[in-house]
Amino acid sequence: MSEQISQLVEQVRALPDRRARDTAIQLAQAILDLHSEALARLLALLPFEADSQLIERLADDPKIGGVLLLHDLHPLDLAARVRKALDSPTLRNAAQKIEMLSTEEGVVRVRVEHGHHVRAALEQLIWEAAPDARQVIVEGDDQPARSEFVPIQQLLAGSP
Amino acid sequence: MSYDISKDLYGALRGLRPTGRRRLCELCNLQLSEEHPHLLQVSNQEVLCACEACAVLFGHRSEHRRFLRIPRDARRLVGFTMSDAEWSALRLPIDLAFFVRRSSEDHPTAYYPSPAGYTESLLDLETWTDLVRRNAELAGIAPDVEALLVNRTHGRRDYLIAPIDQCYKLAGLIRRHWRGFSGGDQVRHEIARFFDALDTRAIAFKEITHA
Repeated sequence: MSEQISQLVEQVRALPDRRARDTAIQLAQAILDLHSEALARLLALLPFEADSQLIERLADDPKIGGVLLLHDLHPLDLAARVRKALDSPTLRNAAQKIEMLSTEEGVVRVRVEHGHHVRAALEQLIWEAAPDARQVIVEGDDQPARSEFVPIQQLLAGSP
Repeated sequence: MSYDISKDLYGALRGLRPTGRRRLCELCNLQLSEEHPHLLQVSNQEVLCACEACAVLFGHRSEHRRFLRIPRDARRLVGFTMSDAEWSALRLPIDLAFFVRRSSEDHPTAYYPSPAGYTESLLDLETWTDLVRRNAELAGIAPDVEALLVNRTHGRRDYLIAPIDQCYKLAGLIRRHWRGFSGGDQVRHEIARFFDALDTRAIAFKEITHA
C-alpha cells in the first residue's frame, strides 16, 4: 500500500493539466489535515496518565505508529526511535559496538565499531524506524580488520 | 520496530504540504508580503489576512466595527506580579494560557493550548478581578484583539499583553510540535523560541499608553 500511494502521488504531480493537478493535491492535503486533526483530538482524549503499555502498543504498531509519525503525533522522537532500532536482535553480534551519535536537524549519525558488513542492514533498520529522518550517516569501520580471523559461520551466512 | 510508512511514502505525503503558500488579502485579493496586518472579524472571531490599505480602511472605521485591526506587537508588562497561589486559584490544567475579554461578553475567557488546538476554560472571576485590581495595566487590554498571555512552563515566567493572532499562532505551534502524550522536548523548545521572539519585539506597556 505504501508503494502504491507513493506512485499515485508521483502520477498526480506529473499531471499535465495544472488545475487537475492542483485540485488533486489539495484534495489529498485536505484529507490528510482532517485525519491529522482527528488523530490529535483522539490522542488528547486519552488520559495523560494512560497506562504506558497502551501507549507503547499504539506507537509500536506498524500501521498506527506509521500514521502517527506522518502527522507528527508519534510519542517517541527521532532519537528514541533510532535508539530502539539499534537494540534490534538482528544487530546482535553484527558489530562490536553500534551507537547513535546525534539526530540533529533530522540527520541521523550512527557509529559502528568493528562491524561485520552491517552497514546496509543497519541503514535499512534505521529508515524503517525513522522514515522522517532527512539523512542517515553510518560512520566507523564496517570491515573486519585484514589480519583478523573471519569465522567460517559468517562466510557461510553470506551477506547480512 | 518498523513502520508501514516507508521513507518514500513519508516524503511523498509530506511533500504535498504547501510550501511558502502565497497569501492574498482576504478583503481585496491583493498579493500579500510575508509580514502583513491581520484583522479580526468580530462576528465570528476569525482572523483575516489583510493588505495595509484594507487594514486601515476596515480596521479603523468605527461605526460598524465589523473588523478590528489586531496590533502587530506584544506589550511587555512592567512590574506585573502573579503569585503561584493566584495562578493555581485560576484552576487551569496547564501552565500556559491566554485570557481574552470579548466585547460581546462582560467577563474574560481563559484558553489553554492543547494537542488538539486550544480549549476554553471557565475562569474564577474573583481571582481575575483581584489580579486586575493589583495590576492596573490589565484594564488596558484591548477587547477581542489582545490577550493576557501567561507562560509558566518549565520555570519560565512570561507575562505579556499579546495580539490575539499571536496567541492562536502559539496554539498552532504547540499542536504541530506536540509529540505523543506529554509534549516532548521539541514543543518545549518551540514554546521558548516563541516567547523569546515575542519578547524581543514587544514594546514596553508605558510607551503605548502614552502614545
